[in-house]
Amino acid sequence: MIENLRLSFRGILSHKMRSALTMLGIIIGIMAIIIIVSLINGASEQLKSSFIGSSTTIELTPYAAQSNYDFFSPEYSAAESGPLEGVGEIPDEALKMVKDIPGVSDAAKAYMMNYSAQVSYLGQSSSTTAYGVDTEYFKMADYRVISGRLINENDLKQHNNVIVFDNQFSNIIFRNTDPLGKTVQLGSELFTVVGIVAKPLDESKINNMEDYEMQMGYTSPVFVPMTSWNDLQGYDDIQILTLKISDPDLMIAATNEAADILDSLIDSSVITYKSSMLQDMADSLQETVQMTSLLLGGIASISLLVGGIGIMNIMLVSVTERTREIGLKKALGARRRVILGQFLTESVVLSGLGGIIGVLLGIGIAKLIAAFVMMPAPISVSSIVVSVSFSMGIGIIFGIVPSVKAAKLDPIDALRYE
Amino acid sequence: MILELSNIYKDYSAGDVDVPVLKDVSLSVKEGEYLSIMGPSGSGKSTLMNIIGLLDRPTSGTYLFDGIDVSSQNDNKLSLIRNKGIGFVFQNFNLMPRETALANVELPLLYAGVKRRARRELAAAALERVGLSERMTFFPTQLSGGQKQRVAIARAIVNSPKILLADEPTGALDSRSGDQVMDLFKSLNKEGVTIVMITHERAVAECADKIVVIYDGELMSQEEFSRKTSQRHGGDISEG
Ligand SMILES: Nc1ncnc2c1ncn2[C@@H]1O[C@H](COP(=O)(O)OP(=O)(O)OP(=O)(O)O)[C@@H](O)[C@H]1O
Ligand SMILES: [Mg+2]
Repeated sequence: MIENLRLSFRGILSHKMRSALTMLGIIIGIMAIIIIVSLINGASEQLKSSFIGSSTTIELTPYAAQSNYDFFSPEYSAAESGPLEGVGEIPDEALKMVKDIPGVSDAAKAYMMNYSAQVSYLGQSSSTTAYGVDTEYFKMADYRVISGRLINENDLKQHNNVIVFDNQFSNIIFRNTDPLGKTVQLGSELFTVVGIVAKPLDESKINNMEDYEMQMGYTSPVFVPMTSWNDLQGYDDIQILTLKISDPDLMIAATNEAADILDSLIDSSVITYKSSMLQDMADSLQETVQMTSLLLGGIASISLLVGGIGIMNIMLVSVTERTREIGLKKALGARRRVILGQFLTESVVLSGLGGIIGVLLGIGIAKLIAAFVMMPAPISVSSIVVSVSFSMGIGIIFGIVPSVKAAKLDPIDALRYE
Repeated sequence: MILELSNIYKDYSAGDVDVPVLKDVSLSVKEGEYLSIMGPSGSGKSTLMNIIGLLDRPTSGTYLFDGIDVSSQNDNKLSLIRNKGIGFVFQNFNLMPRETALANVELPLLYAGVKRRARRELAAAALERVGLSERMTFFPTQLSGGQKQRVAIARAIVNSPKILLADEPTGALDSRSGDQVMDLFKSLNKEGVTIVMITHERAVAECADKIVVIYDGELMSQEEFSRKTSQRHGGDISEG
């Protein structure tokens, strides 16, 4: 084996130019793979970090356990009829446990009506998301008061029909009039507007409308006291849990742990808690990955096929050139597999070397591109390992024909060869 | 008997016609024997040598090498027998140009699966035997013709083969280097190495204990040969 490696390197080094040209196909193929993998990884990492940067609060919403639909989604209402009753509130014990999860700095429970809450004022009606909240919620979700006040203990105790508007939505409904003290209809109940709130936006991350919506992560909502919610709905609703994440690296783990806690403490076989945002993210990442692998598959197979054929070609030339050497070796007692091993090793070394050079060039170029467009270009060890072993595999596959040809040479024909 | 060839025929097909090159050749070589095969150019010497050396197969006839019928052996078995049983010395040396003298001599040991250290030692001993212990790290291009042939002989004897086969070992050498090689053969034979040597030079052939002649594909004694040729033109074998 060592002997074969020595022979291979010497063979390759004695024809530097030829070897380099032969490796070119593999080099380019592997280089392309490394560049694309790292740039796409970089792009998705950037996407992920922009998600995390804006949404330090995550909502855990109940999903119907069987149909796997978000309880608030239109698919759910189509699949199941009517609300889920008798599930009950999120127990305070669960809330306490969730707050203790590493990476979670705060948590609050709430009721939610996703996008489908109808708010009417002076005959004009508009749909939005409505929350039934306690006093904790605003602090946790980073809302600050613009005018009026927040929902207070008194509202909760007395089941007051008061409502707080998000700034954006209040602009839509009230335009230029002062909203405070006005009466609006939410569902079948009337509510008095007591406050306007807004979420501070991370201006640095907003370049366009899409960024804005991503930053908002919600259609600007309205809030009513948690205690008024069930009167409003006419039944006992299911609650959501909102988490404030302090450490983005722990986001996924912390969210999953919180969901497990809720599932174990809320005695119900009909619902299970999930984060729709994480779900979306996972879906979109998977989509990216699928696209990537398709693209990669195409580029890789073409360039590596070309590279492999190049190697096969040069190995055939090499076998012909060394016919006498092969004949002599056989005369001296080299068996078929010795000759086979020698040429197969050379072919694998050639392609493996091409793979390594391709990886190095790919890393360099990916970093260069990344530096120009200011995004990360992470290099995964697995992509390097896979690339190099794949190129070596090509060496084996395309080296077989020439090596078998060499091994099968008749010693006398080989010795006579001029 | 180390070699026993009986009724060996070898035909080459050139186009449509089969050209007979060896006709009914029978030959036995005993252990410790030193045999020369003479014959004019084109008479089939190399062809016979290749068959004896298990590099080529006869068209018909039986060949026992050290008691083994080699016609039934496959390619790998033949490699094994060549490796352990036969040492080759070629007219044009056939050294690996990129390997040192020592590495060249190590080759048969490598194929025999001898470990690296033992390989070194055995190869060095073989080179010493041919008087080249000072030239072990030289490459073939740095050696004279005679030295190259001695490296080739060292390579041929390093595995302690049953028989040494030499095809025109002095053919590419000046007379002084040729004499050296012949002296070496003689002393190796004295040590018990069986040698079959092909040559068309009478002086070289006469180093051997026994000379046979191959003429037009037929093997014969010298007497038979003189009888045959004197009838026609009384030529000398060495002139071909
Ligand atoms: N592969 C082959 N195909 C066809 N004919 C061949 C082949 N090899 C040898 N011959 C023929 O066989 C005959 C004997 O060849 P061989 O090489 O054995 O001669 P030789 O006695 O060694 O001659 P020299 O002294 O010149 O080396 C020649 O006539 C040659 O043309
Ligand atoms: Mg010849």
